[in-house]
Amino acid sequence: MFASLRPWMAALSATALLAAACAPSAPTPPAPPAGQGQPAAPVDSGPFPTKPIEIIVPFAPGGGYDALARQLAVPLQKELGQPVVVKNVAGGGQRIAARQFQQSEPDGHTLLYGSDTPLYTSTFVDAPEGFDIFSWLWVAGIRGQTPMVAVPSNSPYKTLEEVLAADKAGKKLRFGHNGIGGFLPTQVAFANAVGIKNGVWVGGFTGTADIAPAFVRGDLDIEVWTPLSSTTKFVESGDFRPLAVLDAKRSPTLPNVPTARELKWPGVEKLEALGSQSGIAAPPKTPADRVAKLEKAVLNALKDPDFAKWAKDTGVAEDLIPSTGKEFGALKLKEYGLWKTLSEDLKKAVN
Amino acid sequence: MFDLSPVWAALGQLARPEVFGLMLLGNVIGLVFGVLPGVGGGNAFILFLPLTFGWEPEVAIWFLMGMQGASSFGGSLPAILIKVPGDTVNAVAIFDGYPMTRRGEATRALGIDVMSNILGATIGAIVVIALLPVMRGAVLLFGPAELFWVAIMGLFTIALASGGNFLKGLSGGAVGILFSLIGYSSVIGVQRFTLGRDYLWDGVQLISLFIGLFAIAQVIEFCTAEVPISRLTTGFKGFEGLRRGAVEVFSMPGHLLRSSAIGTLAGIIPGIGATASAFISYSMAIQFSKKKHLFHKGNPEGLVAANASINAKEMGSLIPALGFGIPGSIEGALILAALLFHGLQPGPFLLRDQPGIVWALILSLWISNVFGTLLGLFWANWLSRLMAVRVVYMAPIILVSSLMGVYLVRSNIWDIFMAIFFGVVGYALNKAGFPVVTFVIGFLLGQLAERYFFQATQIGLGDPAIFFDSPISLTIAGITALMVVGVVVSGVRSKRAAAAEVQV
Repeated sequence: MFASLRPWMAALSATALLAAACAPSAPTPPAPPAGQGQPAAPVDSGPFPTKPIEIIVPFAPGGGYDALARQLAVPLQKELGQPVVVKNVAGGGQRIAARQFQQSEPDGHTLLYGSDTPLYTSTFVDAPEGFDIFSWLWVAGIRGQTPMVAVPSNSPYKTLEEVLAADKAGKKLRFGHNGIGGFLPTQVAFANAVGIKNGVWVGGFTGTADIAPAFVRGDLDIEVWTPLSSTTKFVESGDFRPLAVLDAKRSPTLPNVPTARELKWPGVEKLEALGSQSGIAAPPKTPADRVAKLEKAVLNALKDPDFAKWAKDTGVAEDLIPSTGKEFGALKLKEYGLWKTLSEDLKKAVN
Repeated sequence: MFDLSPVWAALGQLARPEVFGLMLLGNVIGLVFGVLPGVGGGNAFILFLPLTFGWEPEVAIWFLMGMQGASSFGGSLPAILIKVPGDTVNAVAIFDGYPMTRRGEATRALGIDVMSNILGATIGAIVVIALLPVMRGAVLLFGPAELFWVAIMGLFTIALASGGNFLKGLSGGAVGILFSLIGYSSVIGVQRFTLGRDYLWDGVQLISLFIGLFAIAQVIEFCTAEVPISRLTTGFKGFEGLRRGAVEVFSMPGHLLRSSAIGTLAGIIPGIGATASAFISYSMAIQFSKKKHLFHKGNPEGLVAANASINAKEMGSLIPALGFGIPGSIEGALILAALLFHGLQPGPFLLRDQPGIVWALILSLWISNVFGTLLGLFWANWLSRLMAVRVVYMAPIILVSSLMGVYLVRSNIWDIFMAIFFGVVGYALNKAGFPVVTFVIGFLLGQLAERYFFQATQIGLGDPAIFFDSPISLTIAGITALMVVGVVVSGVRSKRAAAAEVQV
């Protein structure tokens, strides 16, 4: 009788061991005062890097962030003299990765490259514990994603004015999204900025992969698409009718599409801040000299000819915003400030 | 019609010895990863993608597709031989493949497996090539309303798949639906049954559930029964059994065509996964079969339905990737990742600007399906001897491999605990006589039905007419209604027959 219990006991004890191993470590330190906590004084923290460097990407393999991280890892490896490995920690609206990153050893060997904007905006709806974006150290800015406002090519609307007039007449305007950790914040912020009152937030999509076909079918009326580089193909193919790009200047790949500023759209200041920037972060308390070394390596890697060629071929090059950690941190603070003002609208859109 | 020169160019690539060699190498890797329970072809793809850095894109495609094409056949081998699926899509092959093995017909089952794999991929390839000029329209045919009906039709197949016990089948399906609702719902913006944990934000992971229900549950079964997997001497008896099995597939053109069509369609429409389409095609095979009572007991038709749809699905998933540059499924996402990695912009212009790449994709996926399957045959001989391996050696290997596979997907330790939990659930379901298949269908389609219902309602601004305004919606709804009538009629008939017998 006991013999038959053996496998069960074995399974149980293994479970207990594993559970102990992955129990959350010490609670996260209290958040430092607001503002990107750039390391204070550079002290020599010894030789670095001494082992492979891991870049956590909070998405499953195959997406845009993953592709860029893997391409960048190659020249970065040359710069740092240690292997650079991309680790995909998908799930939980990036929160699982954020938590893992926050708790990782702050020795410069663990970095994060993800999309922090949704990670931040989703905190308006619930207050997740275990990570604090404001404590992260920015190593370098990588990519700025310019949004584009478009309607399907068979839409009756040709300008924002026509859209706004329809809205005023009580017409419902359908936007597609994939949740608070996805495209929803941008849609709500756009509607808020230009004054659309009758927005309908059609949820349940997984991302561009199913929003785009629904859009082309005419199931949706208008959409803010980010990033530009992954949607230009739909403009070129004639599926989307672009109304404007939300950036200070026109996009080189879509030179015929005007900017919101040229068209004098309402709330243009807010609209231009909608593009989400992404950079590489190091966990809090990483020694300053290591962050500086990583910053230099990343900025050099971005200039690597092979990487540059890949970026050009895939259209990513246009979005690249190589910037120092300090510049990027300042940019982020400004961006978070804008989202903060929209927190109430976001909560309403979700419920 | 078509300009055929890129086709010849793509085929010409294969004539280069290094390309052919790399494709075969890809096949072998795909087979190994496929055979290992829990570790699917997707893992191989991700693992080896960085290796192709700096290769010519065409060469990398032949290699990567070589892995992709072979892995699903690899995964069907352990499903048929030891009742442990290599990957989630292979779970359906268990239902009729393993009972055949127990009957001593392992070679016949493998023959059917091989031929239905090859033919499924071939039919899928033909459909994809035929659809190339209109592929964008094909993707757009299905919106949320149409997909809602697809999910509903799939859910109704629970009644068909219940086998003997209607009540147990339906209740299993209902519990499956409940499990599918766990997680953050972006339609209604709330978390359900997540116990306040981010881990459950994305819901129950498909891989954890499948590995638990099929692999772990089977390991528990092995450990408690303490017998070799098959007491029968079902070793490989030469090619005669294989040949018979292979030829047999041609005697079921209906099942073959229907399953391939379901698979290809599931590949084309973003939203229905390979695993769900395999289960739907299996249930439909039951519906249309004259030997309904033989399913789950080693009916070759079930095996054909399972395999053909998986391989056709792989081909179909090329369509959204080529037509729109969007991933229709996990397979499609991998293909897009490969293209992007090699600096190619997937999307509507790939066919116009780089037809060579497009044809390399189609041909490499198809040819590697054929070659990988044939290559896998040589293994079958060796693998079928596994059945004689004692459980003390076999069980730990399956356990480690499958839990590793679960962990590989997103490096989350809780996915492993989840798999163990579902292992216990699966074992209990089996013991209590609940058909696992209805539980799985409920899980795969419950949340989809809900999501598409909400989406369609929002898109239609609350007007239910959206559910009936396209011919496709009406057709699928009609088929579903006919299915329901069929089930009721056959239920009433069998009751009458039973009553008549009692009176006599």
